[in-house]
This record gives sequence, C-alpha cells and structure tokens, in this order.
Amino acid sequence: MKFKQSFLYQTKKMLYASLITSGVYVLLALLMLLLSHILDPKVQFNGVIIGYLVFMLVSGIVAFVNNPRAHVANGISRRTCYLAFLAMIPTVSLAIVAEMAVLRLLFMDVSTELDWVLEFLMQSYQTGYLGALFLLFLLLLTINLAGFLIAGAFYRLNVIGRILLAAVGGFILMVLLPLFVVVCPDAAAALGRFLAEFVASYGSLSVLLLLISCLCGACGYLLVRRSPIRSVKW
Amino acid sequence: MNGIEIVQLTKEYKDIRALDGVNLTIQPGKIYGLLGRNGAGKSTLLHMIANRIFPTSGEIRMDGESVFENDRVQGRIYCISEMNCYDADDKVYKIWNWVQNCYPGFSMEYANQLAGKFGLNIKKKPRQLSTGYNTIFKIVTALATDADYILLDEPILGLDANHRELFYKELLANYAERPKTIIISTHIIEEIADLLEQVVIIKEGQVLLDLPIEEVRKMGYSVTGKKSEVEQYCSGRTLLGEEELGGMKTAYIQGEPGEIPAGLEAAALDLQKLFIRLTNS
Repeated sequence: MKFKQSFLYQTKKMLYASLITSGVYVLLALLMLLLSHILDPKVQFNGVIIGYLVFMLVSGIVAFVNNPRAHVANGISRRTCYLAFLAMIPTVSLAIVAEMAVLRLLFMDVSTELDWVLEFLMQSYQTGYLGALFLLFLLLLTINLAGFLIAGAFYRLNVIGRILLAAVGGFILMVLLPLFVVVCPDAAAALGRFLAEFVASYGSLSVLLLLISCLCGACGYLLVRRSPIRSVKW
Repeated sequence: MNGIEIVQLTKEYKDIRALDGVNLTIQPGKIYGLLGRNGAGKSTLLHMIANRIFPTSGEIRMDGESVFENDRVQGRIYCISEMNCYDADDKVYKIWNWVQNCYPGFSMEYANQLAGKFGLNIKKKPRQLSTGYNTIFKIVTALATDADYILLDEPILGLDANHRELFYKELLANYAERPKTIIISTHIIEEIADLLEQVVIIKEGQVLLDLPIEEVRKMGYSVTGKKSEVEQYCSGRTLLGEEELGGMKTAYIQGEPGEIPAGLEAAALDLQKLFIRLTNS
C-alpha cells in the first residue's frame, strides 16, 4: 500500500492551499488595519470562519474529482487514496484551527469575529478556549467530508439524477421547509426543540458532528470505491 | 511471471457492449500492437487493465492477483492515454516528483534526458503545453517509470514525423536496456509494425486475432495483374479483398503464395492492409 505517499501528497496540497487562504486573510486584515487608521477607526474585518468553512467544503468537493484520478494514474488504488484522505482531513483541520488562533492573536484590533464566535461557543457550552477550538475543528472535518459526499453523488449520478438531486434538494430547502414552518408552526417548533436537544450540550454537539462525519465518510467511500476515472481538459 | 490474464471480460455501457467476453493473455517481456477500428474496445481494455474503469463482468489477473484496486499489481503498470490525469496546475517536474514517489524505478535523470531530446519544457504546466507536447510529456513519463507493463494508448497523437521517429528510437532503446511488456494501441499501423512482436486485433469488442508478427505477415499476400488473369488465379483461394483500376486488378489472398503465374506480380501484405481487410465488415 502506498498510504504514506498518498497521505503526504494530499496533505501537502491542502496545507499549501490553506496557507494561501490564510495569507489572503492576513492581507485583508492588514488592509483593514490601514484603512481603520486612515478613514474610520470602526472599520472591521469579518468572515474568517465562514471563509475557512467554505474552503473546506470546496476542498472536499474538489478532492472527489481530482484525487482518485491523480492516484490511479500512479498505480494507487481508490481505497488507499481514500484512507489517506481520511487521515489528511483531521491533520489539515488542526492546521487551520491553529491558523485561526494565530490570526485572532495578530488582528484583534480589526477582527472581532473570531473573538465573538469563540466567546459564543465558550459561553453557550460552558467550555474553555481549547474546547471551542475543538468544536471548530469538528465542524471543519464534517463540512469537508460533506463536500466530498456531495461531489461523489453528483459524479456518480447520470444527468437526470443530478438534476433531480439538485432540484429536489433545493425545493426542500427553499420551499418545503419554509412552507412547513408557516403552515405548521407548532410542529415546526416541536421539531426545532427536538433538533435543539442534539446541540444543547457540548457533548451532544461533538457526538453529532462526529456521527455526521462518520456517515459522510462511509457514504463517501461507497461512492468512490468503484467510481470510473474521467478525463479533464487541461 | 505469468503476464496478464484476461478472462471473459465484458464491458457494457448504456446501449453499447464495448468488450464482449474477451479472453487474452499478455505475455511478459513483449511489445504488443493492440489494433482495432474506432470504437472496437482498445481503450476500454487498456483502461480496465490500468484500474481506471471496472468491467461489467470478467477478470483481469496478473500473476494470479486481480488488477483491480490492487496497489501491488498496479505499481507494476503504467498507462497513458488521451485521459488527462494529473493536476493541470502542477508543473511537469513537480508531477514527475509525484510519479517518482509512486514508482521507485522512475528515473528523473532519464526523464530529464528524454525531455531534452524532445524539447519538452519541464517548467511548464501541462495545460500550457500544445497537444503534441502533452503527448510527449506522457510518453516521457511512461518510459521513465520503468514499469513492468507500459500501456500506450495512442502514444503518437499530435506528434510530428520527427518526434514520432525519435519516440520509436527511444522506445526500442528503453526496451533493449530492460525488456518489459509494452502495449501500443494506435491507428498508425504502418509506422509501428516493425516494432511489434505480437499483434492483437480487436473487432467489435472481441479478439479477432492474437498472433506473433511473423505469423501475421504470412497470413496473406497480394497479386496484381490483368483482371482476367487475377480472377483465374483467385479461383479456389480465400479472398480477403480486391481493388480494380482500369483493366488491372489487385487481389488480397489469405495464406502463403505458392507458384505465381507469369504476368502476375505477388507482394507481401503489409500489416495495415491486412488489418483493413480483416476488419472491414
């Protein structure tokens, strides 16, 4: 098994990309710092956490399409590639959490977002700073695997399947769900209370995120294990 | 080493049967020509050996082990085709670093040497290369891996005559240094005929022919002369095809020529002509 080669290859690529993302935030924060001194002292820079979540979602999506192709071309099975991918995600998530912590220290003056999100987590779940960072770590992990699963579903489905998945998913989220809330407010409230139980405590939220990660991970493997390799235009 | 054994291999797409119960043994240490018309199933076969797609049914085994999702076996196979597999944003030399990690026999020195001969700029990204140079990048990578089985699907796509000649020369030099199994799938039959040791022809998803090149060359010959004389000569012989021009006729006949009557001219049937005759419906 070429697990080590695959793990190093994937980790290197992801870390490089995450450092570029962090670099962009550093530049933006510096720009805000400069503007806040020149223009308005109340200029703030936010969106770091959302930015990293989007980064992880997109990375997961891209991983399904690119990784197996680059690995199979070099005689590495999809299974080995996927196992290395599963080992890579927590490594990179940890690195991103560390980057966020560094950014928070460097740019306290122009960015309170990291502060207030971490404060919110710490207060809501009666946990310390490291506990809050661990929740962010789990969130990054989960969203990356979810991205991989979404990409896998679209990759494996035929055209009609993709249209149905996108249309039905969109319909449920944008029409059915709001309609449900408006038409059956009591039931929606009860459902909301039921779902809130899963995020009520630090332990239950952590377990929920881990369960979702495991589910996405398992389904992701089922989609990738027999996926045909397709070419891309260079 | 038992080579690659292909047993009852079938691949179906929606309404097409790309391969239909193919049985074939690829022996180690030979240069194969995998020939067939467009859509015959050549690329499908090579992609399956390379674990890029999966069969509908059947097996492909190397030394008794299935080739599918098998790192150990796939580490001995390298395949190039029209398919672009690597990250388009990585430069050529960076891709070679990745290939070297996976194929211990990959020689960076040899790859750089070949790149120099072909004029390949290794600091460019694949998407910055022309069609021809993309092909060169792929064939240099394949030759440098030194894998036991090198599968080349349309390896001369977009290459000019000079580069094609250089490729044949380097391929033979590579093979001479360490014999390996090379499978070349191409439509430019005339050019590769002299390289081949074994010929496999695929027609409509099935193996039509699997013979050493010497036997293939003996499979037929042509006779040319006046139409009536040629027709008289052909009587009782298996005809592969014929062409007429004015009062003259050329007949392609199966088998070996015996005594040729005066007035008729016999010639060896080259591989391309034989291929055309055999695969014409």
